[in-house]
Amino acid sequence: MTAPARRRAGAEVRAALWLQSRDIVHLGGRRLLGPSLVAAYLGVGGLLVLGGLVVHGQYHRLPLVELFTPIWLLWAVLPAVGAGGGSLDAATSLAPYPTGPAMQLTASWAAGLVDIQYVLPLPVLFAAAAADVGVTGLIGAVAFVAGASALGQLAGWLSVAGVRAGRGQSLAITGLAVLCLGLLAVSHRSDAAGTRRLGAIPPTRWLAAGSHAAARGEWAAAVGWWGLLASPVLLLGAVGPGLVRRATVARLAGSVSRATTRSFGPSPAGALAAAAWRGIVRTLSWRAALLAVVAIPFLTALLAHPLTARTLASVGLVSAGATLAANTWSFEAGGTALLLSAPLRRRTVVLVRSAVLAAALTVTLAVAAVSALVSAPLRVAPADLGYAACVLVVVTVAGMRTSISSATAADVDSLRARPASLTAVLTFGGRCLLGCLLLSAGWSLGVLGVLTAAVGTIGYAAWALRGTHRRLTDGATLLAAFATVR
Amino acid sequence: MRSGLEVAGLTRRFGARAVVDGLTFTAAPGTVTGLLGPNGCGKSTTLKLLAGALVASAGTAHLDGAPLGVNQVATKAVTGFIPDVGGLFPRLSGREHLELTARLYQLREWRRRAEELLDVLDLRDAADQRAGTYSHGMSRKLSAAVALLPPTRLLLADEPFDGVDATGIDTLAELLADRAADGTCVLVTTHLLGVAETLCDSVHLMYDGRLRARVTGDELPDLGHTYRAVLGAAREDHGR
Repeated sequence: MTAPARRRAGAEVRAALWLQSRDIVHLGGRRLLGPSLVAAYLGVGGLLVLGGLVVHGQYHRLPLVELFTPIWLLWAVLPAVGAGGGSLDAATSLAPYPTGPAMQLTASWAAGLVDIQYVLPLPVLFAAAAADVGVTGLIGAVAFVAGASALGQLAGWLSVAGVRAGRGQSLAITGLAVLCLGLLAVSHRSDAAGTRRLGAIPPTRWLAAGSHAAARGEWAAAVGWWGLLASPVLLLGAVGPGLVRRATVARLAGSVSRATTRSFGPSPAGALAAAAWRGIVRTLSWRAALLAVVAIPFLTALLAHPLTARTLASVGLVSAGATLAANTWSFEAGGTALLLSAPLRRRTVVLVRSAVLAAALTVTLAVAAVSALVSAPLRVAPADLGYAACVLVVVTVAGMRTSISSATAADVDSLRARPASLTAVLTFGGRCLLGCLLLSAGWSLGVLGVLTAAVGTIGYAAWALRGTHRRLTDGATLLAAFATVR
Repeated sequence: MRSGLEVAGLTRRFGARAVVDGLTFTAAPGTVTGLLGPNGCGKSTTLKLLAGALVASAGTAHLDGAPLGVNQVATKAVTGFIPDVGGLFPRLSGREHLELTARLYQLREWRRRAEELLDVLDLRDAADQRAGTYSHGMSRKLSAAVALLPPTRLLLADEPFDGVDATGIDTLAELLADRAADGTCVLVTTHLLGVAETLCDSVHLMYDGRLRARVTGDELPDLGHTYRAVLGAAREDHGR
């Protein structure tokens, strides 16, 4: 790379990080909220690491491998099927600027690292590494995060850069990845004793090996393992820019597909519902969300224990919701101006949108359930159906509320259509996590707990939909969010 | 007897700033009224308030005596709106937009009118393509077709000629004039002084959220000169 090219790439990386920092500064639309939350997060994380250092040496080896294998898969593999991996800046909004792949790559990587799937496990990872090996364990943890997230970026960009030139090929790589996972899962299903389970995957073994080598004072070996862990960063540096260039061109080219016109039905609400449904299912994000929920049971079946019905409902719905629910108004984009001026009550618009979103999420859950049944035996009790219904309601209304209070034009025609703002990522993730935790607690407390949780869900739904209705009454938020969309 | 559009003290604030500040005017049925002013003077916000997309901070607006507003479904059903940007669902085709509009406005005989609009606005070839793939000018034409499909009593057109080709501008201006001739009250914003001179029966000049002057009849051919004079005076006022 020549010196001017290096300077250009450096400037782009700085610009991307500055843009990401703006997101944090403006978190929740309040001036000091973002910096305060970041300070609190770093404080709590620091305390956890300090705690890890204090207990270091008091216990036998911690089960790092078992603990971090699922996390590695979440960070490094799931972006290949359209889940996580950071959001993409709309290719059209950056296209007029003299920016290259370094900016897109850094922006996507930085957005991924502040996603809920990193924000939650990171302090635990660092604290566990500190408790296991001491201060030097933190080096291994950093290498682990860097390597896994770099692989996730590669997987994510490969899935959007892949073969998008021709019609019908847009999801070929993602579909192929899911098919391979499915075949592996089905072949493992016949292995009754479970002896051929994948178990620990190499990168988490390398993390443990590096930690143990450091603990024994074998520094050359430790540095070798850590280097191996972080090596995907070099691969990303070498291959990433090419992938980003290809993906950007493919996304800017867009689709010219014709729409199959079918009747909307006679009633205004029915027509609105049909339009909203078509707006969702005609996107790449919809198909990517379906593939992602199909992949989840396959992955978990391969790893260790198959998912229980309740975990499947929580993980499947929240994962699909991160694409479909937290972005729900982005699927309408410029059409919101038509919606707001149409002869419809705002209440009708909110209720119809919620019903369509719930229907779309139900389809993803049904698909995830079929995939779970294929990969491993799945036992479903009537109480599990009630739990799934409550999670469905929580994810739907959390998405409606998040998507209108933090409305931005997410690129729903990319495989990684996550909410476009950090506020939306954190609030949607936080609301769903809290909801699932409370519902699980309710379901573990017998009939009274279930009833309380169900009543709580109805109350939350009423509150969230009322908030959505209030926000929609004055269309300023949505009109401003989509002001640049034709 | 229809009274047309009556706007009284219409105000919209964003935070402390009044983007539309006490607007009062009337527009008779069967006329084309223009709103002219520099960027950011509140024209688009005014039209969004009248279309029920935004809530007014103060003031009222009535169409033939009935209130206009966010949840005034009855008046919305007789109001067409061409927004300045957007107004289209990117993943619905042009023809689907027209059908959706027909359903939302509960129209019975609409297919022939829809095909006529597609023809006259030169959209027939692209009618089955998704709106997200349209050029800017085609999007504007489709937005116009959507607003012109229902037989409305008020038609709000925000920069309808923006990005439209030369013949398209003529066609669109003709469609708006035809609609006014049918008794509709047409309110249009544009930066094209020539079009405003020929299309409008009267033009309101806006600056900083307020109406500064009204130009009608014989004064219209000299609209450009009046516009520059009024704008200069308003800027001086604002500077003080």
